[in-house]
Amino acid sequence: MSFTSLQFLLFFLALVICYFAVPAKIRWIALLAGSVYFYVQAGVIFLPFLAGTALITWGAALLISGRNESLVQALAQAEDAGEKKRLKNENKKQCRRILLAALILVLGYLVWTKFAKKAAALLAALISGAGTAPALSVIVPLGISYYTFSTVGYLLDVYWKRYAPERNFFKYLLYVIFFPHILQGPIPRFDHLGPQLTAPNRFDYTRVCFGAQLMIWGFFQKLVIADRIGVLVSAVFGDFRHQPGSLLLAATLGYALQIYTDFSGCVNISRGMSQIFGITLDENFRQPYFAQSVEEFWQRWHITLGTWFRDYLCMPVSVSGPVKKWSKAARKKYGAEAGRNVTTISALVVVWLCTGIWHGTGFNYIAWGIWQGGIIAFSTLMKKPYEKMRAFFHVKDGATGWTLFRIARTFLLTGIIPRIFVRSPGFKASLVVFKRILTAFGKSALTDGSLLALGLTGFDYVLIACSVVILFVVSLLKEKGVSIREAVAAKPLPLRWAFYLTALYLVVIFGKYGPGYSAASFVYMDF
Amino acid sequence: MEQLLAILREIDDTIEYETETALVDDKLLSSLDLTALISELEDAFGIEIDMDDIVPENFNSVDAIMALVVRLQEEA
Repeated sequence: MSFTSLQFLLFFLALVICYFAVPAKIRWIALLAGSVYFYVQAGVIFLPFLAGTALITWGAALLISGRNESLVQALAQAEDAGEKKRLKNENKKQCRRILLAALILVLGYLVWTKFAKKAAALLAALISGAGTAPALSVIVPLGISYYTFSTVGYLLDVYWKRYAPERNFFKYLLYVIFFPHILQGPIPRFDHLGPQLTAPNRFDYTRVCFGAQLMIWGFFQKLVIADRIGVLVSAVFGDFRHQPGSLLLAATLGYALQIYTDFSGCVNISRGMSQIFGITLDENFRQPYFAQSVEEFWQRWHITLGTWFRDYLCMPVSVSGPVKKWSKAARKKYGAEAGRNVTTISALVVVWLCTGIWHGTGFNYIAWGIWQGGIIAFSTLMKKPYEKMRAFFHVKDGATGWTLFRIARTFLLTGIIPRIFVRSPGFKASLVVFKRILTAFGKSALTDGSLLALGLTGFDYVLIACSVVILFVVSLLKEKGVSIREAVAAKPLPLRWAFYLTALYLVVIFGKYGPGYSAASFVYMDF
Repeated sequence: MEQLLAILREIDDTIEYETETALVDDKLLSSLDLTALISELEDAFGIEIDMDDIVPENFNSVDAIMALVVRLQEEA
């Protein structure tokens, strides 16, 4: 059931009515029932996998927490420091065993869904010399990447004693299955989302209006921009070997726009829906194309995935035994800076390799990860020489020209080059696309009418241009800290409602609908 | 304290460490800065920083970092 289907909108409306109709104390149960109903629409078979993951992480967290509570009592009775140390070490070992067992089960299935078919093909090729894989059916539950990450985050937080575990399994299950975030995130944190989900949220007219506005904006991003520009992108990349470089570059720019409006549009719909219930989901985008460095881009794009990797992978890797050992060795031989760099680069390599694999298992995704991580690692190593160079050329930090140059450079490094890797159908295909852009540009294709033979009309292009202007103005206002929703809410009632209805009307009229009025799937849902 | 300030300035010398109280919360120190800082602290003070200790409250100010160092030295 897609967020953009009529069936979904009717389900959502019915759930909102039910949610506020039942007593405040049991509203979370209505939300859980609605979320389970939404999830099983994708296939009942997926539910045991999600519930199993929830049960494993919930149980493991309780076991770990129970052992830690027993340790406190045992320490109070311990007679000397040696005994206390022994008890602590023993407890740490036991907790680690529980943690590892749960992580292997939960992450193991995620890895299985991503690699099983590739591994089977490789095995078949090794054994028989044939390249054909045996028929292998792998169940990939809806939203597996998202719910695995949110449950693993919860378990690690409890293991690191950041908060107490949830004792009610069904309250925890609601955190895992909450329908607005299950498809494409944002990836939640239990200490932020859990209490909000089970709180007795009351109906608030202003909040409902704000939520509805955010949903309409999300639909605009998805239906008017992303699905429309997606037609051009698919047509060009579907026939990349015969397209001139100019159209491939135009399609790459289009893809940068499509993936941003598609993904952030979906997250805005999710955040808007949650806001209607009185629940605040984390922000996942903060005007990413205004970033001035690749590192900053990743602090603005898919923020919850970036912070997840930072907290649960980058940090543990940087304090892990082998990295500490390598860092010490480098420090001893080459000095303090080398030691620091070994720690940073090791963490970056692991994080970006995993980020690449999270998006896909093809070599083009690995190349994408290496590209992103490589640039951040290079920028880290060059930080000081770069600052000296800037001072030498008297380039003032914050000067308009310098800022625009940095934004354009970052867009080239994040919005264009790596997008070719992931949008092309495979790594070799991406090399062909690069080659055609550099050697067979054919700029006349931009003006000889070729653009009108790619599934879009002249009117579509005008609509895209106008939408991009609206998107840019809204992004600029947000960047400057202006709250558009509050500004609209401050207007008199007739003006306010005229605005809402016009926005809704524009989405309905200008939304790009596929056959049978079913909008295209969200791009990030496949991850 | 001087040794700690020297380490921090080596990582980023544009921050007023003596007055800042939200180094992590205000994103003055990035995650990469933090990984470098942890590596430096372990080496300079002979301590082992565990994941349990890597929370913003322990790295938001010079005083908080120093308190963490002293606690870990006592526990070692």
